[in-house]
Amino acid sequence: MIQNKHQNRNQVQTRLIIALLVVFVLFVGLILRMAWLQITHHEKYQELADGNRIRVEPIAPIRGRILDRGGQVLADNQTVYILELHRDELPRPRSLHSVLDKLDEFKSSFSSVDDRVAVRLQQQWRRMNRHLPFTLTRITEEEAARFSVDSWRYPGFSVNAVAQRIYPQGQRASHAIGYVGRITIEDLRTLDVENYRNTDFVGRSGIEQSYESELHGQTGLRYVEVDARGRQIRELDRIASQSGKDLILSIDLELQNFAEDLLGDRKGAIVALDPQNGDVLALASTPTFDPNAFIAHMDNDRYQQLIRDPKKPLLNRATQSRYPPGSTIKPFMGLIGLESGLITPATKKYAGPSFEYKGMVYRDWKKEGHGTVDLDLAITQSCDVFFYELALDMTISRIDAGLAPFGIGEKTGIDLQSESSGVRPNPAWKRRVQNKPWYPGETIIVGIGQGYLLTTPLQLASATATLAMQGKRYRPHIVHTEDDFSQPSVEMKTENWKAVIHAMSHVMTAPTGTGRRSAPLVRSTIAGKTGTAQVVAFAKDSKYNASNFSEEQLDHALFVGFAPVSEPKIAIAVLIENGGHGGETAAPLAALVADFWLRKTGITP
Amino acid sequence: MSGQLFELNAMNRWRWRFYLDPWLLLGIAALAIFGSLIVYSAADGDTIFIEAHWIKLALASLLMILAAQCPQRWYSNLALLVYLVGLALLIAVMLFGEISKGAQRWLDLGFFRFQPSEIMKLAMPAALAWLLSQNQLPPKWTTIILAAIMLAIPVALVAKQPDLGTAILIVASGGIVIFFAGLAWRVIAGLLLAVAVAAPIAWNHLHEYQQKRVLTFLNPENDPLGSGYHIIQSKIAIGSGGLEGKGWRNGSQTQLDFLPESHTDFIFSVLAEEWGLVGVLVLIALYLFVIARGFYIAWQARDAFGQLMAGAITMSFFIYIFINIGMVSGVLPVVGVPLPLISYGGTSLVTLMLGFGILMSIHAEHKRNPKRSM
Repeated sequence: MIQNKHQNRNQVQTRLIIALLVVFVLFVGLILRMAWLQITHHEKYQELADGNRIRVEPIAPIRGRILDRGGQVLADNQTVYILELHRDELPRPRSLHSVLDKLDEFKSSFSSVDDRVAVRLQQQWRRMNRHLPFTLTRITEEEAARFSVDSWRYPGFSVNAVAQRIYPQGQRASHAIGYVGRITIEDLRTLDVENYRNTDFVGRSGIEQSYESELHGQTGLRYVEVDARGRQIRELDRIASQSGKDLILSIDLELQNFAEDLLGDRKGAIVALDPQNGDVLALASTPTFDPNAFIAHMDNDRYQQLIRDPKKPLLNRATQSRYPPGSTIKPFMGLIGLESGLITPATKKYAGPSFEYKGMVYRDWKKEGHGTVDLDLAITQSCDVFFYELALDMTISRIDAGLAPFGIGEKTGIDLQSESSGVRPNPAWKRRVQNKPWYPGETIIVGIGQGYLLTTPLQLASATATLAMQGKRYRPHIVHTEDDFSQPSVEMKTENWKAVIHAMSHVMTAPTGTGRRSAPLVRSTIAGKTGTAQVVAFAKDSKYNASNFSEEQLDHALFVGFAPVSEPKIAIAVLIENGGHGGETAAPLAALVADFWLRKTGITP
Repeated sequence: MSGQLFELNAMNRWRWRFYLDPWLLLGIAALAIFGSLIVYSAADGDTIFIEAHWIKLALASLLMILAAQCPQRWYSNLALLVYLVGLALLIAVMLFGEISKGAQRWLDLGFFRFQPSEIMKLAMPAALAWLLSQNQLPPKWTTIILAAIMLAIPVALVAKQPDLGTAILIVASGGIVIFFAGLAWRVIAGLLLAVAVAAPIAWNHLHEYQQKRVLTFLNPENDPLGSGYHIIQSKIAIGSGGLEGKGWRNGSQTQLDFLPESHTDFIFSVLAEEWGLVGVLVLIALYLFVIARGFYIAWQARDAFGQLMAGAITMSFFIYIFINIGMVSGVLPVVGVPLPLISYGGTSLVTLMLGFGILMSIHAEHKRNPKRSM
């Protein structure tokens, strides 16, 4: 055993000597390589190092502006003054501590220098390029002037004038325009880092986000000769930056303002489309917010307030919130019914106070019932029982297939990100989401736009525009371009379109029409459908009584419509959260918006 | 032995107490101080970097001291277990690893993320040293084949991540053990031949970015603004340093940011630019001192496991140095290996210091059981 051990030792020791020799030889090799680079070719590399005195600095492009269809500026750039840090011009030691000490000194002379600036500097200190200026904070014009006078006392700090985003309309149209926010490390994973080398802000929502690549522009470059300390001697060459593209929206600011004012401090949305081409004329969502709050990064309190507000002002209720369409779905149900052949305009049904199916009672909103009604009257008076029966006869799969071409329960494809798709239910959907079978009773309530059916106000406006155009469909879009936004038409018989459109004008004109009180507000013809979407189910025997519910439980008021009836120029969807009856609260708003637009465009005097 | 001549009585007691090797400590400390000076310059005098660097050094040193306290048999007894755990973690990375920068290397344990491949750098030589020291050396054929299999599986997993640099280091750490154990020369010659034949086949299995690195290495001027940029700028830094260098904190390549990764992988170029060939020779002398001491410990080690392990740790240390300097001077392709004890921070520092701790533990066997000394 001991002998074995000795044998082992000798075996390994021989190899150790060989390895040590290899180490020696390889080290000598490395030293020779170093001598080759540092002695033999020293002069060549010395020259190359001297030539390495040209620094390439990016020039940020000017972000494109956003204008409304009339040319009013919605997003602009203004000159602001920023306090910058130049690390390679700091006196030694160029440590973070010395800069933080200086910042403490600045606190008395600059109102915006505070601890948040120091924290951000600390976070970025190791990552930043020492030779490029680092933005500390924004300062006022007066502070900038004061700093310039005795800037010699602060080597390494300077004031620079830069372009910064401003939204001159404040809270107006803020959901459509969106806002820009400071670029974060996460953003750099997806952005073209080269082109964003000197850009501080990137579109975060709305048009600012979805058209980021067009708004941003192309970063330019300056070639700067520097001395051995890295200080600029002169500019050698420059590739100018290319400004971003100005975007013209199809939104009309005046109509937008008018719609927002109509909604006032209620939670709701108004979407107005041009049915002839898909232009979004107004996209109001209330409450709104001031996008300027996102630019002034020092204003963190305002930002926190926006995020925490229970009314969710940042939410775009027109495109992101899903609501049951309620009775506004009835014209579409009627169309699908006519097209399926299950009913004709002449088909009459008896509509009592309620509809019974398999022991369940489905009540009509009208306690005494509507009597015998045809489709026209059923839409005019918003008869529930007629559509309960029709929906049950049609089955959920036919409803599903019929609503699909209108884009109900699907994203419209508007040029905004994070659009909600809503829900167009069918048995397969329910199996996937809830793993339960579909019950025919659920089809019955889908017939009046309740149950699982969920839509966004934008979807309703788009579907209404399609209906108004008798099947011609356009993709809604906010940025105005020469593109053709046509989508595949919805094919239905002309007489069926006409029947439903007639019924929708009767909603506004007939003595029993649910929207009759709003028709006088429009100096033209208008067709539409009211809707009242139930938020909570109430007991079978109790009558809906607004006073019994808290505000969040009140019904949503809806209205969809278009005007003029014969040659539609505007299609509108109105939603007011917890607004009660659609005919009372939503319909007048749509009528006023339609009237405003028709008068502004000279269609009615 | 002659080593005892230098040891005073007090020092001996101190050494006995903590099982630390003063010569290794001296070399490591000298390298760490030298390294701090260079990192300080590369970071443009930012003390925050130095603070962070020293905190990492201090933590790694603590680990080294702890490792030196453990008797050598703990390492040989635990070697296989740690190897198997490391293997399991590598498989876990393959299945649930986090992808960053296109490679799947990290395992997120919720409270911290780490690279299991790092464990293998020590677990591999330990496990092979344990296996080969079970029987008489030189090992039998069957043992060598078993060792080859134990080497190949984790290396394949790491290479697949893909992390070619670490895979090479693991191959080297294990291969050295087999070499020290007494792999026949004709087998070594045969393996070299096989590598030469297999290289073109392996080329086709490399990832595109790995192929690009090799191509760039062969001719960096082909792609001066792309991936060749690092090597070109590094060579300019080294070459322009000349014999005496441009002076501490005066290297234009370093201070004007032309040198990439100046405080991590390319720290050697900073040294060569600012301290010149003289600085390079000092550094290599310091390294040689530590390596020589490592060989001495291996030579003196009590048993085969101690010899193999000590030899493997020392040679791995050398290989890191060689690959890094070879890489920044354009002799080897860029494989992202830091310069040991000089580069700023990193997980590799922990592995390195742990290795030195084990080295000290092996040497301390003479103190732990002085009677059985030969």
